[in-house]
Amino acid sequence: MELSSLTQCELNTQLRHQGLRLRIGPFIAQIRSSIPSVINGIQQLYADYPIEQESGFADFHVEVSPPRNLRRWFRPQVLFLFDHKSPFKPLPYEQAFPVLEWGLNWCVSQFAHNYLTLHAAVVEKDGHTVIMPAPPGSGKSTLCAGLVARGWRLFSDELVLFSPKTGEVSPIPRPISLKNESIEVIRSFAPEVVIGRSSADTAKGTVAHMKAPIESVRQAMMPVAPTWVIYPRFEAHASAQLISKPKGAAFMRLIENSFNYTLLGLQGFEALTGLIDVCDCYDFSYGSLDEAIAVFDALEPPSTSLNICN
Amino acid sequence: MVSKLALPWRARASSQLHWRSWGDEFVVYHAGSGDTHQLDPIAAELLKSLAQEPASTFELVTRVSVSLELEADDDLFEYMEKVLCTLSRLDLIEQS
Repeated sequence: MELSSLTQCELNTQLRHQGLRLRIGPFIAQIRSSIPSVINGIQQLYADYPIEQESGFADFHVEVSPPRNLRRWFRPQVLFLFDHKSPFKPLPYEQAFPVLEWGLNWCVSQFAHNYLTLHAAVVEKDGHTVIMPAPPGSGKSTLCAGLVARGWRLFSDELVLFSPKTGEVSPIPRPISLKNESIEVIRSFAPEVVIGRSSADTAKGTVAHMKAPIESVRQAMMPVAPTWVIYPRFEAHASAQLISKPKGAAFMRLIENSFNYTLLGLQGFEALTGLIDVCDCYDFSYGSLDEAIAVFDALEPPSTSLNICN
Repeated sequence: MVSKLALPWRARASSQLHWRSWGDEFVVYHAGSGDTHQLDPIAAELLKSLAQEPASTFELVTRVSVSLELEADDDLFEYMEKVLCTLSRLDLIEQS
């Protein structure tokens, strides 16, 4: 059953009371909120997601609600609650939907230790995935949104879930977080995509979320082995340039982008080196989405060669 | 008094080192500390050599120059001294 099959009344009731049990990739998030912007955001951007009607196990129990203090009378705020506790300070009430999204990212990065988790976007086409780790402001989410709007499958714009057991990346397709100028860039580039309400003055500037394509949501239980690791960087007016990156350097940078490499210990080392073994690695700079997508569409899968020392 | 150059170096907890290489790029994970390091071929050869058997700086220069087919000249000696200092600072080796 998909969320869109709920009536407005049913959705409101679930979110306000027992919690909406939303399946997002390999996880079930039980979400509670009575804040209109959160309800509307979920209704608009998670309409195609499966929901679990039976009560039972949920990976994450979260709530977005105003703190119980007098601040509700002036400059109202909102809290993200995980298991009824708030891991963060309150933020302005207008940022309630981004708070939910950031909170869900936090849940995965903090608790999904059966995976090696990395901060990166992932897209897939014809059975080949691109992992795109990059710091904020490098154009990662914009490029991810552009690729998805041109037919690449969205795995995630924020999180890589790499299984040490299977060597595959599991999708966790959620709304793509667009910031500042990239919101209008994507609106112009792909007018058909659905972009939710903008929240201004967040820590990341103005934020709006792009709905994940329904095909990506429906294939959310289909993991794929990684193929490329590409470090993107937007440079205004630059021509698209793909430069091979030495695997050792790519590996060390991936450690910096991992949430739980250290925690996983030797398993993390084995998983990450295994990931690099099978991937071709590149640095990529681009100034135009069309050019960037043409480069990605022309990528040739690598021929795998291992060289393991003991 | 024995010169410091003649004192043997040894690898610390060599059984806890896990290696991977891609061409001439080496990475090593130290399970004891949880640290991961990227090493060049000379540093990697040096550490692997010490994991087999302790050796002085002089002996190491000879060993590495033979195994990597490098001339055992002053440049190599100077570079290896720097590498030994770095590996020592990373707690991967120690001098007796």
